[in-house]
Amino acid sequence: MKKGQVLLILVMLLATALTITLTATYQSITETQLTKLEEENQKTLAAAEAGIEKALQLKQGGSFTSLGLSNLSGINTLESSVEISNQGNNTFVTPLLQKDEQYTFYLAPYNSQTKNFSGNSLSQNINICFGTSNSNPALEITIIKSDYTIRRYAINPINNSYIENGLTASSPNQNDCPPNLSFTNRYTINANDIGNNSLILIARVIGNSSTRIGFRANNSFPIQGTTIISSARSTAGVEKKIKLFQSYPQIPSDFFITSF
Amino acid sequence: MFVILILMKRKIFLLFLFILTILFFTEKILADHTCQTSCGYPPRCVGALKCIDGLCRNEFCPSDSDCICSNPNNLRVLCSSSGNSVTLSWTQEGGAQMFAIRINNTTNPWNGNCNNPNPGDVCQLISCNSDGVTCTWNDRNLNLSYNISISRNTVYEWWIHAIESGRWTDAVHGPSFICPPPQPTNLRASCSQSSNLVTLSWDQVPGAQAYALRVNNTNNPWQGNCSVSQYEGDICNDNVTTNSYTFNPLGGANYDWWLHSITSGGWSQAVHGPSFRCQTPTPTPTLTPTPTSTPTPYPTAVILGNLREYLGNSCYNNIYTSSLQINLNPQSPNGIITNCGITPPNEITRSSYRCTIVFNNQNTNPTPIQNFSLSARAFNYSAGYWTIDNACNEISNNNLLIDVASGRSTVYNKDIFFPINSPWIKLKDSSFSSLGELSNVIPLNISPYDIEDTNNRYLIINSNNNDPGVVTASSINISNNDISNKRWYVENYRKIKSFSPQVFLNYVKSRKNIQNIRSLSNIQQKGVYFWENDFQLDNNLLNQTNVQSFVLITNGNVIIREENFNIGRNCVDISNSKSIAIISTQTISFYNNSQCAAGIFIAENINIGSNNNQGLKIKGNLIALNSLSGQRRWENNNRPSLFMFFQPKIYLDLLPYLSISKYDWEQLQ
Repeated sequence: MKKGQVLLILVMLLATALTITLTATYQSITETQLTKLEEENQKTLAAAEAGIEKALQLKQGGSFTSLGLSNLSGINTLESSVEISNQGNNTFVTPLLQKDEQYTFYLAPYNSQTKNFSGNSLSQNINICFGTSNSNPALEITIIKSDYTIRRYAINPINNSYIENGLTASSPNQNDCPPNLSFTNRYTINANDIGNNSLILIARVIGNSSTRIGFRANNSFPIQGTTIISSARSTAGVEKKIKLFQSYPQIPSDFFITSF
Repeated sequence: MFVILILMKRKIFLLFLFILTILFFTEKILADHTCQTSCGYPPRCVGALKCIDGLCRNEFCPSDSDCICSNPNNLRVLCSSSGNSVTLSWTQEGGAQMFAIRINNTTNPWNGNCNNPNPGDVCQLISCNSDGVTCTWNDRNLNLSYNISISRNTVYEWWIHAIESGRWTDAVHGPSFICPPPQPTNLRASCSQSSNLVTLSWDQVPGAQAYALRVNNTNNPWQGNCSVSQYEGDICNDNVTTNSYTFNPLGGANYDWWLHSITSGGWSQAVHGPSFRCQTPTPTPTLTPTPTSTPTPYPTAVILGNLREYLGNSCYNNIYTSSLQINLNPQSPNGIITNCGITPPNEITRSSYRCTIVFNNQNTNPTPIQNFSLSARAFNYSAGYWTIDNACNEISNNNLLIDVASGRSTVYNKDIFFPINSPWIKLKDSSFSSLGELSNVIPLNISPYDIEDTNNRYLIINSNNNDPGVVTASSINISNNDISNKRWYVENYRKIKSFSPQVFLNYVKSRKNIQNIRSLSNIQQKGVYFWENDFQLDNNLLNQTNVQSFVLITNGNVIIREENFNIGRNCVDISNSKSIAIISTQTISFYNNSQCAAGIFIAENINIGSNNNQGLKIKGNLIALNSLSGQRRWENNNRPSLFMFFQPKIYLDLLPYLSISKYDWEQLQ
């Protein structure tokens, strides 16, 4: 064998070994970086949740430092903060309600500090939207007024009569319901039925499926609870933002419907 | 858009217009048929129909112009025995205002001109008010029949359209028909002794092409098949072309015979001629029978009376039932014929009955003096019974001695009493979820529980300006009453329990301010309070606190030992009542002599106490998540045993306390 051939083979072997070594090293570095990033994400998310808990406890917002969260390791507490939002809106969507659960929607302003209603309802048409193509229950709506009278509606979804002799919802048009949710049913409660003396509207899910309930009107509804937005930033620059909505008092369905 | 259209070439533009036109009309056609569910005026609201402007209509098609009929169906033809008239029948689901009927005598083509149809054709509009039209309702189906005269031996075709508000359905064709001829008449048999012949004859049937004659020697069976050999003496001839037939009968044999007339429209129904026997044997002298006397018929006995509702210590006229059967059972049934009728016969409210009993002693020998027992069943009532002297009591005396031989009156006045023994309940202004099957039969004759109740026979009544809610249950039996004036209910439904008193107790311990107390005097402000173990409540204990609104939870049992708890003596006045909710993870019991209580009572189990002559009224709410026990009733079952009057004010007063919060969590970044 000539010397040149041996040298060539040696060079090729060295090149192969070098490639394998470099690839392994690169992969190891990448995985280490991803692990660190994941840890950073989790740490920041936990800090944001801590901000929510603190705001709920103190019932106030502000920077993490002002809320007494200055000792969070690896978190830039000066650039982390909690905001409490009390903005009214002309749309509202409930959390997901299971079968037989109900939601108490406030038609008149409610003061959670004094625990009293602080104003009147606005006499306006209210669209109530519910159901999706996969989950299509019926609703029982109860409106309680300040003179303690009660209006009720039994609303079936389109193409299904869960409630015998109930009313039937319509298919919503483009701007009938809160956006970004594909509600399949809409029922409009007339402004005359709402009047200026309605306090709460209780919507109960009847049927074998769950749904969110969307409310939409021309003018803003009263605030329905407390919205807390917590933003946390780590010292490495990772930022997490979470939002929590805490409703005003909700009457459980099991404690509201006469049953025996 | 228009710029684009202008820039298009002419042919492309026309094509585009054509497509737009098709799309437009397609949409119109679809829209016109979206309401193709029902129309017409059925006698009551059924199915998806609702009462709109006094008429039953589909709520999506509230005006006449929205309606389009379904096609007529079940088209049928029935020829008369005379063969010169026919009844055309069909069914119209949901009814229709009128129909366009077309009948074509196929000897001429259909000319399509209703102003001047060909002879023998029919082209006209008919309705339930037209001559020759008979209409009957069967549920939501209108059944119609239309009688017309026709020509014999003629094939007809026919079709109809249903019409509502000027809108016609497609034509629906009935079966083509040609009616069979009428039966032969005046059938005669004439024996000739001298020539041993018999001649069978009948009147000519107009248009008959032949006659089918059947003669049966009754000494042997009838073969029944003319294509095989017949038994001795029998004749089976399908082609008798005259209106008489002569043959040699067997001497002394008895014959039956019958006849069909035949046309191209088929065979008529058979008509029987008089039986005959020729060459009768020499008669044997017989003794003249001794005349026997016919027995004098027994008089028909009649039992009649009112149908009465028995509600404990009171009786009321009329009963309310969808199914009623009254039968009389004789002690010796030989020769006895009974027949009972009810007045009114077809309505739900029934008032009286009348039974006739015939003792047929003309050809049987019935026992003229015997007992008859009553069997009376009415849906939702216990078995009906007679009493002595029609007394209003529960002592049944269901045997009646009837004597048709003595000559005394055979009319017996006996009211029948139908008891409703089960106590029943009423709710006001509430929704209701039954833990299982819901059975609540409300009698016909009721009285209000008190001034806050009404005479309405609903499970849920409502105040002025208030609405009743939805009722859910696994099954519902409320007799023929309605649930409420809204009639909202869901059957085959099981409500899911997601929130029990124990879950709520755990919730408030972790999320709300809750104070442990051992005396109600510890309650100093509105809030949620916890009482460890069992306790009893009466008005004195309740008045240990001046706080007007609170929730009291216990992990033990609660006994309400007060006749009028947290409410005025009249069981109506709650102006001085506290807004309270009593919640027990175990059982809330009311004393047997409790009359009424105000508040929201929530427990796994509720015992309303037992009393034979005292109901219980709750103003607030009553929620048993597992069971309701106790037996309340009134001596007179015309009042509800439990009357629950929902009070939304208490829920509003307790809103911060008898409540939870719901959360919705979302990661924005």
